[in-house]
Amino acid sequence: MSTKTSSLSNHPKQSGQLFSVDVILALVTFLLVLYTITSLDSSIRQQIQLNEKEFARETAATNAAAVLLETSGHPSNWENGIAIDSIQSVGLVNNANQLITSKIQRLVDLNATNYDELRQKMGASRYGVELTILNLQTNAVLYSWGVSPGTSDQVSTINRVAILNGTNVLVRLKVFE
Amino acid sequence: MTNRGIIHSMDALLSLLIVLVVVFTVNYYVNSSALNDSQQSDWLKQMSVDVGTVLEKNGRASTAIQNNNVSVIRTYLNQLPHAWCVDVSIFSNNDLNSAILAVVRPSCKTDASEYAVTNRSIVVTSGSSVSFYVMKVKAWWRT
Repeated sequence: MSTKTSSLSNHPKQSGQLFSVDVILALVTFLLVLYTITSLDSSIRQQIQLNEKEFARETAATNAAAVLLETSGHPSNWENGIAIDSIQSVGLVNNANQLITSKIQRLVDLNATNYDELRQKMGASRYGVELTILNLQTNAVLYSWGVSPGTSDQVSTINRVAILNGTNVLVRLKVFE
Repeated sequence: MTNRGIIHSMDALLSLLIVLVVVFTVNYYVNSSALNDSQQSDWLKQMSVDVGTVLEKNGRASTAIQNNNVSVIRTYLNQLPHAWCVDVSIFSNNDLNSAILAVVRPSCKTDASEYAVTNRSIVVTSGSSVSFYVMKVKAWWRT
């Protein structure tokens, strides 16, 4: 016991130096890890937010397209002069994928005055919406509804095929923010 | 004393390595398109259902069966958006192993890693006789 005490007291600097190297190494390692995590953290957060926004927008677009092409709306005769406040949802078919001209026409007629209410009834009130119905064979635009996205907007596009008065058509729905 | 220091450094290096592997793995998966993949898969199923529905309702499936010729279906498939690839097979309801008619959209490779399949019943009436068929629609994205 006495020998050890004597040995330590004879070499106080050596012991202190070893301890300092350990601390410096640990500190450098810790700072390196901290810096790496901090620098990656912001990019990870940003990417998650972008993914969530994109996922939410694409889900809204998918659901809006389903409402339009798979339901007749509520009430189902909403195209027959029903007041906009009494319309709960808008659908463009009576049977899946078979578009009804009168429903499309009512939607188009209400575009100028009730765009905001109608996109809400499609389940896409947070986004801009553009609906285009094209002849599948010629690509000619048969009907267009809504607002076109700007060049800087992030756009989710859904393409669905359907029939309109015996003509094969492509229904293109763009949801953007 | 020197040996103990080396052992501590190895521990530190190991833990550092693990931390960095975890951090970069999280970063990789966040940046990958896992969310998009699930949406793409949903759209694929929707594409398959839509094509089957339209082929049934516009009468092209029935016409192809009655004429024993797939040209009306092929014409329709060629009008679809460029990225869509579709394979349509029609089976008699009493033999679901061998298709009586089959058509793949021209210029589509059939080695896709992911595809969606839907089946629809087709009823064809000819005079007083009624025949039942099953139409299988397989859809995938063009690569």
